[in-house]
Amino acid sequence: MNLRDLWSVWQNFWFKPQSSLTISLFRILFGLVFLTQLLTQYWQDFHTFFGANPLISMDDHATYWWRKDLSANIFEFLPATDFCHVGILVLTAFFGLTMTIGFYTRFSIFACYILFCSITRQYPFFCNAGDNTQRIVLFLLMFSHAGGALSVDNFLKNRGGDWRKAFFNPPLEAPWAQRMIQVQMAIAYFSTGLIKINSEVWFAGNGVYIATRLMDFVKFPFPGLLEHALLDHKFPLLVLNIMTVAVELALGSLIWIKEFRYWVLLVGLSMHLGIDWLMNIPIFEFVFISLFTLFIEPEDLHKLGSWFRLFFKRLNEKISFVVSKVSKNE
Amino acid sequence: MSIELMKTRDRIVISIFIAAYLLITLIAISSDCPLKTFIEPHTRKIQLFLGIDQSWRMFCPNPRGFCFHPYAVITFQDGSTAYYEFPRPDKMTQLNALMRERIRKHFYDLMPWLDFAVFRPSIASYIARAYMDPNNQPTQVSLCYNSDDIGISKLVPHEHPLYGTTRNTFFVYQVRTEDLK
Repeated sequence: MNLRDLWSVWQNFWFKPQSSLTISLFRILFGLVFLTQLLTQYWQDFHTFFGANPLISMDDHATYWWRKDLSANIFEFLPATDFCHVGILVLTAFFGLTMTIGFYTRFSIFACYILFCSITRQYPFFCNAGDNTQRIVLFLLMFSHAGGALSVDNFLKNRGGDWRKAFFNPPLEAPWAQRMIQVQMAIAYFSTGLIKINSEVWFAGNGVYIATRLMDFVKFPFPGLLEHALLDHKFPLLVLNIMTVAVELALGSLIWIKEFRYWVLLVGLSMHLGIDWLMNIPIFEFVFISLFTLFIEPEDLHKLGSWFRLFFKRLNEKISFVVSKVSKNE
Repeated sequence: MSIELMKTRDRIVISIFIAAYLLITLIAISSDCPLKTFIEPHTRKIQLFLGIDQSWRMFCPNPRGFCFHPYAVITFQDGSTAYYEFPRPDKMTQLNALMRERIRKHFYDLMPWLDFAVFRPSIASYIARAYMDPNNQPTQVSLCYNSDDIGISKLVPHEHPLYGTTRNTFFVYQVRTEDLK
């Protein structure tokens, strides 16, 4: 392999055109998760952290935390009043909605990015890894063709012609921004997996046991005998511990191999849903689950779409058949 | 499919951007070494400015090995005390726990830990303000938690949680007049 070959591989990975259907679907799912988070968790205790009388004042943040770091934070230019701060949250939710439906998509994502950066910078102590992921995703999503399909923009652009075709079959685009989000996700998983391997607790096989006993995270028990069989014995806990690390490493590595991709995604999805059932880490799991859609090939999305169309067509036929039979009997 | 959809110049510029992004990210997540110590002060500024700072440590390297619930004891001028328990997710409905996750994050993952100790006076004075009584003002706020170790040698059953029997007072704050304004 020479430099020319390497450049060719690099270009193929980042720039080989593909349909923007996948990134558009991701935009919708991600937007829904983003909006849910804003309207539940952020809204609930907003006045505790922001406004005229916050738990930790902006001066204290500036003195002890930001120091002289330059950051994108529009709160610094606004008076510290309840009205202004709530206004920022409402605007973020508004642009979150326009991003989700794909209306002025790129501008909406940019606005969400700036506003969300400001909120998380203004009060960094209520952020978790899910917020960091969302900030990074918004930054990278700005450069993508996320409004290329399944969007109001797309509909408005093609309403004179066959908008349905354009809605689901957008023109091909260079997917480099989508690839960056994929790589970023893989880095997050692989990094976590590696840190866990180097941890005394996880290496000894006690990671899942301790994590599931933290009272502030406990959510639902597993149904029936599964609860006792899986969570109250050393061996199954050890297996779950090893599987957690293995799945995280696979989501950062094997996911790039086409033959393994959907299996790895399936196992990753099971892991996240399992964690979400057992532990109260709201939104975080769904941010990462939404990222999985980026790995679905556009052709497979089309196949899935055709399958659903066929399914609903048959369902419709069956319903019509039953309705006609009932009306005949009457 | 050809990659000629974009001009070569554009592809080169974007490639430089991608390489720079990956470099900054890999430096941020790598373990400590002399090279990281040398480069990170510069790349950290870019990360913070763009909001792409990151650290992926979900329940690692070591999840905390004990359960606890934090509370505050407020002492008033006349010597009487009040007990304030910070919102406890284990006492909430699931919907409420979802909605109030940010409160949990603040009071469980930050307040008791030394890295964030500089903010404890702000929290203590906030609580003092909440208990403001012109006839009997708060004079002291103690931040405490009750904890129990999650033992490894003997398994704690998942459905029989630990509630905290060991008391730890981690901060005592003398309330100033200006805190109550």
